[in-house]
Amino acid sequence: MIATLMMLALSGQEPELQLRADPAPPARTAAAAPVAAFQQVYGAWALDCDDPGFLGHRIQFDISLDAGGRIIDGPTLVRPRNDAGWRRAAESARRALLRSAPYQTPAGFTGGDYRPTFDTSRACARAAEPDED
Amino acid sequence: MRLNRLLAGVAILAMAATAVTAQTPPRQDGPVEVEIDQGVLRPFQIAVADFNGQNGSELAQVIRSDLRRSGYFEPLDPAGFVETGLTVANAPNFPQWTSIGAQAVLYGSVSRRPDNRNDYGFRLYDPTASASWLPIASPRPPSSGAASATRSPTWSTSA
Repeated sequence: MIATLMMLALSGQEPELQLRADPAPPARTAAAAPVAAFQQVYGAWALDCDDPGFLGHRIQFDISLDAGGRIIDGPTLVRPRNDAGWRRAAESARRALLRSAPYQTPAGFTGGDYRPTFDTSRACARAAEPDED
Repeated sequence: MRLNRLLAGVAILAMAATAVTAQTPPRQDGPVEVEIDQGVLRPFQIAVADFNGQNGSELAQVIRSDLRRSGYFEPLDPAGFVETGLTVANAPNFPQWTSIGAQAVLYGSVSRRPDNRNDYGFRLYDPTASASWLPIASPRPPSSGAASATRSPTWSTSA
């Protein structure tokens, strides 16, 4: 009974999944190979697409990597907000960044400063797409 | 002659400066921007702590099993809980629950009434927002005359 009540309570806040595919902003990818290392984050970012508060956010962090792909600074939120949905989404993104370290970097990589942007709506739209195979 | 030496020196310095510039990687202002637009869908991770009172741990286990079977939840292993001994009178230490990945924390208490029915009370928190998922209210109407001992949602059922 407790479980049923709790599911109702949670589902009551999530009446309908609204997916919206925003056009991607032009990315300034000066170093393509190190940027590709951030694809490791894909498998670590747990999406909560049933939560309407999760959608519609672009969450940015500042993070610095050393030559071995280890985090030496951050992740630090850029322009953090206080609303609960945004904070839940930001927490899931922060955990994904931490879980993915150390990042697999190409030979000759010397480290650097990065600003990953997590787009919750696009990620949920992609997750809802049927598999291609 | 002196002018020729001076020009040659300037030329050598210019060439050296060009060589140094060519070996230095281009410097970018500010961090490199990366777009993350893929993730994975996972069930909602919830921490269900053992309830206080008689058969409290068994009750929590039933709740975990029900939630897991629904397919929408992934109850976390209680062995990984950092904070223990939660009571409905107190809020949890939220950072300790976010640190283990809990998206929600559920705990409560059960107590036997004289008529052999059980009183259950529980709390459900969002540790990231440091807030309750549920409005805090007494489920008993004032006309019942029984004041709720706690402000947590409670109800009774037969044992």
